[in-house]
Amino acid sequence: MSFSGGVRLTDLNDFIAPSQECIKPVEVKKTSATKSTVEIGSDGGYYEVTKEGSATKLEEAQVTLNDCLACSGCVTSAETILIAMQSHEELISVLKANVLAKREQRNSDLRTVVVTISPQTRASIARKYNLTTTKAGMRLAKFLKTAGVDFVFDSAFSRDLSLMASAKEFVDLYRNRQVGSLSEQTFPILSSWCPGWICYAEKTHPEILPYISKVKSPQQIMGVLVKTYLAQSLGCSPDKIYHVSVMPCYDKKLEASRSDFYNDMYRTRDVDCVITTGEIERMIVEAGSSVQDLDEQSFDGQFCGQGDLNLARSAGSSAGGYLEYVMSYAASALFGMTIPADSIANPAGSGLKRTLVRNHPDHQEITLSHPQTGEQLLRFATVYGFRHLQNMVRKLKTGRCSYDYVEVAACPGACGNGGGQLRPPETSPKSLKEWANSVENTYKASEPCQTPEENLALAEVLSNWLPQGIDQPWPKKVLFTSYHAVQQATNGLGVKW
Amino acid sequence: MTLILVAELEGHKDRVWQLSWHPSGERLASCSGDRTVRIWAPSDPGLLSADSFPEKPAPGAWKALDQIESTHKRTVRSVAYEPTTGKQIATASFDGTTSIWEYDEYQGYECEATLEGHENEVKCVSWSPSGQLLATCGRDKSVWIWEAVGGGDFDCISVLMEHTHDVKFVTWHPTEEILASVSYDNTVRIWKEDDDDWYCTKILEGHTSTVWSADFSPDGSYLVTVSDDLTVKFWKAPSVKTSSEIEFVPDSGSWDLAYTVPAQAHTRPIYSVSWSHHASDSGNHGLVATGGGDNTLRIFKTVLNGGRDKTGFEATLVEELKNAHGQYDINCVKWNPCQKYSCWLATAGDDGVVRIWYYTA
Repeated sequence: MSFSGGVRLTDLNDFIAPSQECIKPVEVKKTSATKSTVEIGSDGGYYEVTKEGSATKLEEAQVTLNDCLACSGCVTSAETILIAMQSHEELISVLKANVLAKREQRNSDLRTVVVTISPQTRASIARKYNLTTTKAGMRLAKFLKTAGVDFVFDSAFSRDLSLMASAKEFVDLYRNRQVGSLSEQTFPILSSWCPGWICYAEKTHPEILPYISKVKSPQQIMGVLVKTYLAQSLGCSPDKIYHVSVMPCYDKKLEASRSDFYNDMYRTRDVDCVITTGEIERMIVEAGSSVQDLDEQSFDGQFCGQGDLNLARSAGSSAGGYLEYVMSYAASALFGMTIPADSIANPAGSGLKRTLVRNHPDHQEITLSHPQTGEQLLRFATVYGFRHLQNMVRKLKTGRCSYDYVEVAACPGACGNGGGQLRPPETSPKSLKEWANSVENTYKASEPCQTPEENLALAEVLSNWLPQGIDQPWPKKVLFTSYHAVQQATNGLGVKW
Repeated sequence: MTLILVAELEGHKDRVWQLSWHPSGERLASCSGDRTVRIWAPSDPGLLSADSFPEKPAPGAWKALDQIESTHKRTVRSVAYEPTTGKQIATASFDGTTSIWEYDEYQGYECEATLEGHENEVKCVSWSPSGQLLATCGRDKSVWIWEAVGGGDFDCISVLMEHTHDVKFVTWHPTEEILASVSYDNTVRIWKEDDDDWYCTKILEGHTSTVWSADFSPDGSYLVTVSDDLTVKFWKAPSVKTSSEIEFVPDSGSWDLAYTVPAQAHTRPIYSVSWSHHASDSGNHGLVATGGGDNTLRIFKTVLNGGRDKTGFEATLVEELKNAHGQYDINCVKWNPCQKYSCWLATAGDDGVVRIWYYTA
């Protein structure tokens, strides 16, 4: 299991070293108020035995992934917890339970299974099996539907909503800055959809949390859509839907487990399970099939692109096109300039300039200048990979980061190269890099570009779901999230010279 | 007696962790648990060229020149002079930061930059021979490579997270941009740049416990490593005549283990190793000093050709001094990097003292 650099550095993937033990206090509910003893039963379980001699089996204490995320101590053998909560086996067992419930006519136990597939996943599968990204997606859809999944959606759909909210947020903050009504330093705005980056910031740089955009990631917006809008239209409660997302990244499992995305009332998560591209490929192989041999089936139309296009993508890199869309929207809203998002990816004229910082493709600066006066209007950047992220944080802390908006990804080459993606047969550093580049190219050569406004299915959903627009208080609650600094506990005993 | 104690430098208020010679060979920097760095030099510069000394160290033969009251919040674990001009000093601290200090005639040492990034204790800082790159490593299992961007500041150019435990020490190859790191995971890793990215090109396995320190021979043809497993190992580096000749394919046959000074080279963990800069003739490959938890300073003579090992490499013990820092651990041994001063050796210990030695064969 390979988390991104930020997560690994913050010890999340750490094993308990011999000298370290979990410091998370576990609450044990006593069953009796009177004095009792704890004994080990013949089955190896722990029993609370009262004076009267009656024994009650004690619940096994469990440390969840979420406990670990909220703790600054070790993070146990996080992998075992992840495997228990967030794996393709979990999805398979839900599907099996459904089959059983159907056979035994226990309709109340049936759960609607929804799978959201990321466009980066499709690009990775397409690259390995030499398909178009659309075909790769349709084969995954066929496989999942055959396995008993009820709906298959595209996370590019919810990404459009995330893009719109991000652009709106940026323009609002920019205007507030112009009139001087910002109470704290908020620029540059740092993008928020990369969970590796969020985890790193929360654990090690709490002072930069105010800079981070509050907009939820495509995965979590899809989570809300599925558990509210879809649940309503199906006439079921959110906990009757089991929602899985297929992502290029292990860190997404951590994101789905955040308490911010847990519905207390229905005891359900917006995204119940995250599996990676590699894991869905393994699932196909374990089912005795192969991507080459699969038939194709369309995604479900409710939450997908539009019309016959079905799948579409947004302009920009496999990071999702945030930089491009936010700049395009801001140019129009703030300066009345028409700058199409796809022209920002390869700018030619119109005051746009794209430069590689110190010749590195993972750190690019994109500036927009006034066509007549040459005055610099907007200064954006992409920062991919831990190394550049690190330099950005250092500059930010010393007040030398002069960007307006930064698209941040913890992985070099952004999400096409996520830790959960398929690997090339050769794993030398050179072939890994070439492979990542070719996945990126596959991603970019996929479906035609579309702006969020052109997403007709989204427009329809919005007119029903958020008729009052996306900047009203209620939509803010569903589209925005918050971040929490993790207190560092310094454990003197852990120091090794 | 061929190892002469010339000076005892007292002043640190806590154990002394590491030493670094100025590239001129005429000054020495030491860092300590007292959070300071002290700069020492002979009172009479001519001393370094002398070859006979009084039987007992003459008080005042060396003096404290300067002191960096560091802003580090915890122990300064590592110190390194910039190797081309010696105008800057890098310090690495348990507070998780690395600082760059520059000497100013009026202000003394001033902090030019603080490099943050390590999650917790930084264990070592090392400057590449060109002075353009800096490597740091630490308890967070990572090795960071930084590049000078002018004005005393550095940009991070790589974060290498392949060690599975605490990284204890990093050191650069003397002529190539090749870095060696050693770890609590018992391995030594060799790193190299390719197309703007740094890769682990080789994992040297063989030590059975924590590897504490490493040093390249002055010509870069061998790497010596010392460990908790009480052995000293010598690894043959690939040919370094021209950089194009170095093929860094993972798991290639290069970096063979050439020689092991067997267990009981020391009787307790070996913390530090240094390869001398004596001019090497055909057979003689210089001296390797070691020190560690058994309070003993040892010097090995390294020979090529005549050795029993298949590569022709051999190391033989030529000097052993028990209790070189009394009953205290020896944390660092460091030969003077200048060939003309190659007989000078400095050591640092848990007793808070820095000792200067003169060695003649």
